[in-house]
Amino acid sequence: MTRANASFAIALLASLVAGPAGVIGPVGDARANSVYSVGGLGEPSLAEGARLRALGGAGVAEHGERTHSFVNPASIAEAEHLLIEGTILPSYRRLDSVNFGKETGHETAIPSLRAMIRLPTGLVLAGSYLVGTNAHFDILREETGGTPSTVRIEGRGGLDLIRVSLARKATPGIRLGVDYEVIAGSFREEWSRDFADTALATARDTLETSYSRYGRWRIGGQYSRGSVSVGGVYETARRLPLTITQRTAGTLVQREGESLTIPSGFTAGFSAGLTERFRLVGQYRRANWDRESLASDLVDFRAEERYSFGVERLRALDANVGFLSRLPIRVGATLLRWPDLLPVSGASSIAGGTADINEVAFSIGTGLQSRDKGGAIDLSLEAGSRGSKEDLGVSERFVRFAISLQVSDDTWK
Amino acid sequence: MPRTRILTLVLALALAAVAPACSKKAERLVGNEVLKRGPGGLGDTVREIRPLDRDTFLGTGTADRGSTLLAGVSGAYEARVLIKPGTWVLPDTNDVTVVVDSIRLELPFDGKMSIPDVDLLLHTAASAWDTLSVAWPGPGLGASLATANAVDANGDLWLELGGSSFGLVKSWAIDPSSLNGFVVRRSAGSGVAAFRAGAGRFRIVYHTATSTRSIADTPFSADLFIHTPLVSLPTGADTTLILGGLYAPVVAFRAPVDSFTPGFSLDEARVVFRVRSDSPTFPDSITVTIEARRIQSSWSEGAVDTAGLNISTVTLDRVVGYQVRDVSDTLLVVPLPASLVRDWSSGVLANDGVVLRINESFRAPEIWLYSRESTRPPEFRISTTSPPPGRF
Repeated sequence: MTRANASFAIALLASLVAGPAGVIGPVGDARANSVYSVGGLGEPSLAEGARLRALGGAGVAEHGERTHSFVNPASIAEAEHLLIEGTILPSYRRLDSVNFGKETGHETAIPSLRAMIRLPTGLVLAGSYLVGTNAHFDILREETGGTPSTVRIEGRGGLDLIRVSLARKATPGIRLGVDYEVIAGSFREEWSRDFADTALATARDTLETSYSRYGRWRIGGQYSRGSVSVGGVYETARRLPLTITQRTAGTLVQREGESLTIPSGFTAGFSAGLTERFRLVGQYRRANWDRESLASDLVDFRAEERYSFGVERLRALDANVGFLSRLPIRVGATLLRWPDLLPVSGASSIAGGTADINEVAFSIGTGLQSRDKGGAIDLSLEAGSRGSKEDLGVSERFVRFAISLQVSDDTWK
Repeated sequence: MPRTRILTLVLALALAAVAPACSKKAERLVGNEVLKRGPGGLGDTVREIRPLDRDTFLGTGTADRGSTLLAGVSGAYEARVLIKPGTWVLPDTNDVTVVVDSIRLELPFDGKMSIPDVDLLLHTAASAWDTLSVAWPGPGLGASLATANAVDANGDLWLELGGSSFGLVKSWAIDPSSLNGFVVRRSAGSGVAAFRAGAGRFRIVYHTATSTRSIADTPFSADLFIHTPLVSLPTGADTTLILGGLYAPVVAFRAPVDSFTPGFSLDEARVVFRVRSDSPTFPDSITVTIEARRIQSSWSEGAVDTAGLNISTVTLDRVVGYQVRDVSDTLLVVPLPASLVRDWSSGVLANDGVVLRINESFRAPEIWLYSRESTRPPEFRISTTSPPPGRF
């Protein structure tokens, strides 16, 4: 193993072991997220690694031996190796609210992990963990009405996705792939109410919304001709029966009979080489959330849409050029329209009106590849804002720094 | 080292450093702005102080089969020890050289109460009695066999029958039905002596031609004590509740519990009694443990004793180390288990109330509590919080 490759291996191990969730517990506590995760399904997560995040997340037409996208199962069809990739996402946020001032915070997330291997039949098999939505939040609230108390709420969970992917090249220009995606995770909140009067015992409640862990299909394809590629994905819908449980000391109340429907959706996009070293990528992704997806007085839904664009200056392959020329440069932009429609500022339910959450982010990134191309580190920096202080009472600006590590069996050769 | 390699190592270290640096404080306060959970709020805490709807004190019978035996007199209170010997153990009656030196009843003091200056007298019981049903005044008194002063005892209390009683003992051994047991009662002086139950014995000390001192011990097959009943029986409308003391009365009460919202939190459930200003105070070294037990049958304030209350053998809660030192504003706070209050609220268990009792209450003075008919009635303090609203 070369020293550089050893460094990649060390980096991957260090990040995954020392990271907030670790390899075996990616559904851990630490996740980057949004203040709007307090309600609805939580922040929609972008699963892509740093390379595609720098391109605004436009990866549906992505393909290659070591380049792939989480959005399109066909994108792994050209993988030649055993490949492992993970991403860590430190995030910094600045919040500004009408009644509760301003706050700054930072979190770290693991939005995705993936391992893939090429099978002898020309098929490529992959397993992935992805964060679908992130419902992580902590709230401290002073209750002064009635018996004075301090309420702490810790929200955890969200939609987690576990995927098994299979892909194959149908012809030199056509790649096909399929995902079987299990919707896992749950929404869990721990409420504790401490009273100023020590004669009163702390009230602790657990609220959990869980669902049957059913799966759905995602079917993707890509077509390439020359330096132009197009890709598309279709996702099927899946209805998940809900179980809503409230626990406190000595009692449990359970409600069943409701359901959450993960809607159908599609993604389409392209990658077009402009010159030998420049290419343009674009993507549109839609999930057809609507009022029927989940019956609730506290959240309504619209279709989730993500528009992504990016430009990449590829690395120079000539060994005689300078260091900077050997670095790829990626810039991108994305507009995400959250599916959640939350009660407007001042309303306690959607009956009082709803406000949407739109998220705009700009990104830039680069990456390094080991000399044997067995490993890579990609970096991206995203800055953006989401939500409206006028409509929702709080707005949010954020900066995210993604680090993706990729190692393949070449790394150990 | 090439720059790419240096950069890789720097990034690896930076990544390891950044990864654990997770915090989640950004919306601790600001998140309240979007914490919308319906018009019902986030759950209400309601504190209530309610009166008891039933309370009284109750006698516990006049026989005590516990680990202590009492004998003596204190005011109107009198206690007697009842004993049934086991199979008599005698010296070898075929040995003509046996000389009985002493026959005595030995009762070891329990060591936890002071020994009073009281004369105790040993009688045979004049009539048959049953350990399970005997009650004050117990069997009649037969022949007086021995007497001794408790405070003069050196070690255990010895009630000496004398060696000449050996023939009588032999007749009891030959025909056990001729003996109805024994009674130890006070004959003079004042005070109550306490002995360890199950530790007493009849001891025959003798010598033979071949031994200078031999012993034959006969343990008891049963021992207990009986005492006079409560001087003034409860009426149900008394303004004072008497708990503990020599008569060992218990306090029974019922705290009304409503039906609450399913999933509620119980933050407080306790009954607060006030100690009467004229209640006896405890010596410094004396504390008691007050136990709460569930009453499992319905009862009325007209009851005079615990018979028929079907009191659970399981202790719900304990007030440990309690003593009445300063009677001004002394409280007795009895916490009720949340699980019990929940079961009462949901109707899983019938709410027939709780009884307070003191184990070996004779070691401490009585505790006089104000009742619900008094000017300072007990309070049932209950606080509940309705469940928080759901996420969706």
